Amino acid sequence: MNDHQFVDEDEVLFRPIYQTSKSFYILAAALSAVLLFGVVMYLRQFIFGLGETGMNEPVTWGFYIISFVFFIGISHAGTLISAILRLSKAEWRRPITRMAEVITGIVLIIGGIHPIIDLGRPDRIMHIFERGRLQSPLLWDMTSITAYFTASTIYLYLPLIPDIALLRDRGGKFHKLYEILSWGYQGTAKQKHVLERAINILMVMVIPIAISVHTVISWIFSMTLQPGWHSTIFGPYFVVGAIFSGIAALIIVMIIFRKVFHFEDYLKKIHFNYLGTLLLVMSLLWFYFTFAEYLTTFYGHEPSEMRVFLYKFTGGYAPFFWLMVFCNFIVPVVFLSNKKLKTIPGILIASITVVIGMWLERLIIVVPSLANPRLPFITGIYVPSLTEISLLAAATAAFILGFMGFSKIFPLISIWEIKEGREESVRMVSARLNEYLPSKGHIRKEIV
Amino acid sequence: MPRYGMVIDLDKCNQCGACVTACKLENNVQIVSKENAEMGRAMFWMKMLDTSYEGSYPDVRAVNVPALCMQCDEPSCIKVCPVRATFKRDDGIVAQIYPQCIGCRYCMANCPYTAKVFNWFKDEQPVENEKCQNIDVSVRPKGVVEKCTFCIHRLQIAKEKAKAEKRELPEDDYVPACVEVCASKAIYFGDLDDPHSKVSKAMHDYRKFTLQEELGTKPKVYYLSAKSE
Amino acid sequence: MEINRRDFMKLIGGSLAGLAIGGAAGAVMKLPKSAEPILYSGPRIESWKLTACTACPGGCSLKVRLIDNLPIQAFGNPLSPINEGGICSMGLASVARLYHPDRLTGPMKNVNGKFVSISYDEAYKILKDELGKVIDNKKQDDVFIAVQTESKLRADMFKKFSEETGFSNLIIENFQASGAYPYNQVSGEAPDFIDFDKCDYLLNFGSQITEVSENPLYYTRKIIEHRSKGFKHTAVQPKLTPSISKSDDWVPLLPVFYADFALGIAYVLLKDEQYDKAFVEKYFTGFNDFKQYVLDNYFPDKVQELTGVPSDKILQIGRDFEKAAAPAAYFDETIFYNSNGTENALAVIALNALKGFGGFGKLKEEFFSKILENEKKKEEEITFANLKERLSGHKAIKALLISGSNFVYNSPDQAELKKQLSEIPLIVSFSSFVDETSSFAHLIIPDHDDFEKFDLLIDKSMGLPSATVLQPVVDHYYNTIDTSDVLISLMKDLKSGAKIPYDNYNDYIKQFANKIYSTHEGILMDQSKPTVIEKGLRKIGWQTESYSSFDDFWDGLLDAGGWWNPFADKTSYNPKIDFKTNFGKQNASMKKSLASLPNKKLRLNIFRKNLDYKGSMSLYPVLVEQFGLKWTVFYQLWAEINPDTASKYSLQDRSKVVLKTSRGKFPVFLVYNPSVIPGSIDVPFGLGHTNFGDNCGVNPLAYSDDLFDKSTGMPSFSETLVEIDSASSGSSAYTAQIITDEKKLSGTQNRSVYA
Repeated sequence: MNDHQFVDEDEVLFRPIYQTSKSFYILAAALSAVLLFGVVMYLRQFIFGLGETGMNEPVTWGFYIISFVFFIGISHAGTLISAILRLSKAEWRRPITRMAEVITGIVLIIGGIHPIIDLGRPDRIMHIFERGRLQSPLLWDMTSITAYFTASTIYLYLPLIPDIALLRDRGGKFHKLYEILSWGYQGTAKQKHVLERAINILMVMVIPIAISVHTVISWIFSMTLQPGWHSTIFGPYFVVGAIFSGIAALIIVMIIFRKVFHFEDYLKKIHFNYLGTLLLVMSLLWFYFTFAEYLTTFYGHEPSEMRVFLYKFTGGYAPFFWLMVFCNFIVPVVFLSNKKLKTIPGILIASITVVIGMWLERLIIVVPSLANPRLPFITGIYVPSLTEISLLAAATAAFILGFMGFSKIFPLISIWEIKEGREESVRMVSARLNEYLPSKGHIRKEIV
Repeated sequence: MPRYGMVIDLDKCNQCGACVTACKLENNVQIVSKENAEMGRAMFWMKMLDTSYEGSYPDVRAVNVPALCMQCDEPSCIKVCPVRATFKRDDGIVAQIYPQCIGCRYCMANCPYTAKVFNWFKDEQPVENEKCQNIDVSVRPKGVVEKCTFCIHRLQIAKEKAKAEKRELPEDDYVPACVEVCASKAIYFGDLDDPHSKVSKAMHDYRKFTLQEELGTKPKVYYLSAKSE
Repeated sequence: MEINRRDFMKLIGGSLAGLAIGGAAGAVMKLPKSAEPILYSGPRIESWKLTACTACPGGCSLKVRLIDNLPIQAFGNPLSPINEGGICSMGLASVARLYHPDRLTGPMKNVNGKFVSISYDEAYKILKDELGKVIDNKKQDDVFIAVQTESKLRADMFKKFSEETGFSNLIIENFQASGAYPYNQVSGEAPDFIDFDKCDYLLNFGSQITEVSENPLYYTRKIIEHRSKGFKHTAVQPKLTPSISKSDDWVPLLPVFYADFALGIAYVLLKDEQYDKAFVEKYFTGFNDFKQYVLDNYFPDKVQELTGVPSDKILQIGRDFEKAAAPAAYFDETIFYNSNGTENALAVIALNALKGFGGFGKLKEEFFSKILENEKKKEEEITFANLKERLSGHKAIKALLISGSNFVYNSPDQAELKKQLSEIPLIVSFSSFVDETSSFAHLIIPDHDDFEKFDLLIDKSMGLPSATVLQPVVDHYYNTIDTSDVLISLMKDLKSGAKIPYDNYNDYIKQFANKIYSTHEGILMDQSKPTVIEKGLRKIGWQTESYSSFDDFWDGLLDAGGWWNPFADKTSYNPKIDFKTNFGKQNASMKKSLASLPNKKLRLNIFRKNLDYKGSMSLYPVLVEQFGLKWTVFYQLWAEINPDTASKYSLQDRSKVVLKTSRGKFPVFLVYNPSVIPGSIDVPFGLGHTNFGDNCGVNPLAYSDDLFDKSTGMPSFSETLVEIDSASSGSSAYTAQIITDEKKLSGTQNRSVYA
């Protein structure tokens, strides 16, 4: 079993699994060190108490909840691209779906761990399962994230099966693993049919689950009575924000791996153009929701709400707020609506600022409402401690490490779909186009 | 079942702060370290709301309101607890079960009166306070939420005593520590459903109001004040 | 079973991991060590003992809860007529003092700068020998005894000691005696109490009457009770303290102007001719000169110019005062915390005289004066002034005995004072702690803690005589001894042939109680208040209870926690007043500089909080934590400033500022407070101990100018000028904004507590 025997036309997609450069190991070591540091800081927090963070009264939620919402938000990348594009039969999705689904998988684990990190008594986590109250938004949250995680893992795995089969057929390392995971997939017509059916079912199921996940997360905030949180717009707002940050994260991941693994042939400029347009649309949509939210708050001028509002606009949190608006609205709109700036580096810059901006948006949502309680207390202040910052860094490192690990075992671009696209897409799309367009003449009915 | 509530007469209150100290000592609420106090983690179950002033100099008056857990009839905190660590008992007291709490602090985020406090650390208490701790009240471990319980341990002791002596529980046998120490007798406590209790009589007062009644939490701590603040 | 190396390593690794997790989990579940006493397994038998609280002059009766005979909590005694079950923060926290780690365990001797434990016999011998030497050399005038006590009987013991041994330089700082001092100066007798049954207008000059005063809890109850019956309370104070929440009006005025204000009110009465002419004719010597002087110099506009109080306010208060049937212009010891304190007090007395002291009362029978040995004598030795004079004049002091007073902390001129103290050859302290003053002692013979000793706290402020029992709730833990017992032994040893009919202080108390018993008056405190019928019956001679013997009475007294006589007759206070004083000449320059502040200077107004009396709050961690709770400031000194003044000097709310006085610089945390007199900066007193309790914060008195009232020696709290040395913009932690609404005072329907 010699992997050099096979030289596939998509060899470049297989290469990352078999060849590892030195910089990979160095980066993996560095990220592992960051991750290990985060784990050690967490153990310190576990032993000494949550006082190791910067949270206090009244700001009882801080970085952990912010990162939780942020990471779960990024997971929406998977749904949007994979499911919605597959559903709408968009052909340009083919090289993107795998990376999107992987983002979802990794980020859901990281995001799902964050509430546990945030607990004062993580040793009592079983209480949720033994005695959980379904009336609590946190329980809905747990349910929907678990459902989403299950669905998206299966949704990642199912389109992975043909690729695993390809890898198994090549032989080489991980042969045993591929054999188990491929379930004996041979690529027969019947198997293909069953697989397509399964993927279609899931693809439809995943979308409502995904929307429910972030809606439910937003309901953690909007089901409370706090000023600035108790707003009906939170559900759609968070979903839009999640999709927004998800696309941005996806773009960043794509651009990085395109460079590192030389996928230029597969991830072409046009993919980024389309994704960039989507990003622009989401940015405008995000701005619309934000504007609506704050306009209604300001117009109503209720005292406790205004206290939070002024804190965000002109008070202690003004720098973060305006930076967020800059990152989420101004930079994407400028870079993505201008043809000259809409290059791959430009899109990368826009995406990075969006990711930062969306993290800031979660900060703006969580902290100011808590810092300005209804009763006349003085405004609380929240200064994140080393533990929280290191855990944020560790989460990011875990994300990148997860991706790197995945790229060593499975292909990052869906090889079978590329092949399928090459062989059959043209025919399928022409057939579809003929269905849309009016027929040539009234007499002759030509079947192409 | 009695429904325990409290009426605080702000016109009688002389802002001495004995209720704050009494609550702290009765319930073994810990004294946090200096750094933690600076950060805003000082633990007070009963606190005087931040001093605010009305009027302009020299016609200024200080507004001081002793605030504690309002023991709402429709508490917003119990709705969101994922493990039923906080719930409303039949006698109206909103209880906090320390061994059940997982420390997610959702109830703290949802309380509009900022009444709950969290054990961020468990600091060693000063040696001189060690021996003065109240044996009737458990010391909470770190990582759990705690709040005023209307000194429910006193209720339990009073009930046990009444049972052992084979009599009913009279009104004055159970009062929380803050009610007991108030020098101007500004705090009334008792069964709101009993028309003859002192607290029910105190409720028949035109000056009565609750904090943030527009939120619909139906707090059972009422305030009496001739000034409309 | 074969275990190869890999399995072995797995086993070790697994068990180590298990231990680590278990350890970590154990670490999570662990309670702090300080919770262990709760978890201990004694039989946990609860008992209650009654005693009294000595934290402030009030002397409330306490009900102490003991578990397995160890006191853990203190509450108010519900049957005591003084506090009726109420108690303040200081009393609640005071149980912890018994267990304080810094408490001295026995007599200490200063050997080369360090304190070394010695036996009581050794310490007593040193004391006896040294004092004996002084007596032999007839240098008794070079010995000073400085005492601060709120117990009359204990003060009496010191007076007896001073009389027997000839150490006539006795300074007794006693709150009630300080308040009576100016009355004694002008008329030889002081009023006993404010008669709330008659009084309908209380003009309060500077007393924090419901926080720390002669009987704060009683006054709180009475003011609340009588307010609904038309009683009015106007407070004249430099700061909006919680006492003012129980007043109808507040006149912001610095203490230095109290005399001018009082005479301004007197002007209104004199001009309207609405003063008590009968009284004045009979009792007020020198009235005509006084009247002329006031009418010439204190018309409202002039007073407004001097003090800043608007003249229509003066008129309004004056008219209220004259309309009242029995007004009382009240002051207590706090009036002396100013360099012209005595002048202020005399002016207030004069104002009272114009309405015949209607609001005051005296007990018909001088009950306690009958049985206290030295009640009337030597009232004038209550001042630190002569001690300071001696020290500053560097006239030799041979010995200084200190009991209960931490005067180094409570004085401005600390550096100088410390230097002078170190020159005294023998300083003996009876303090339980090594505080700022006792650290200079050569010998410390620590007193029992207040929960370990006997006393009877006698009180007349309720309008009737009462004696609250202070009794030990535990046997004394350490090798301490009641100071009065030391004095009794010393008296017997130093003066041969001294007539001392008691062996120790317990005996003395018992003898005193016997005297109370033999009057067959009054009831014990274990009964509820007598009804009118009972009072009537008593008047005609019916007794409501009797005791078979004194021992019976004594046991009953200890069980009940005290004795009082609700049937005592009251009478009015009609002193003969002799006024020869020059008002207005004192302190003219100080008044001028305080009224019109020189360039860039602010008035430093040091105020006292009700959590602290005489600076002992630092002992109690519970109170230190709450000290700044009102402003959410913890463990640091804060300063309050009026927002208008702050904006003039561009100071921000909740910022760190450094203040500079003539004695140095100190940092404060500045907060905005709209009730502060513009131009003043209010700083609390009580923090900044150096070797006593918690050492956070700064003692602002140490940076004040050395001004004190000339006749009592009490330091001035509000006459120093400061300037802002440096200010930072915004604080490092806990920046905040308090939203104030200036328009809320006249009722709106807005019910949310948002001011």
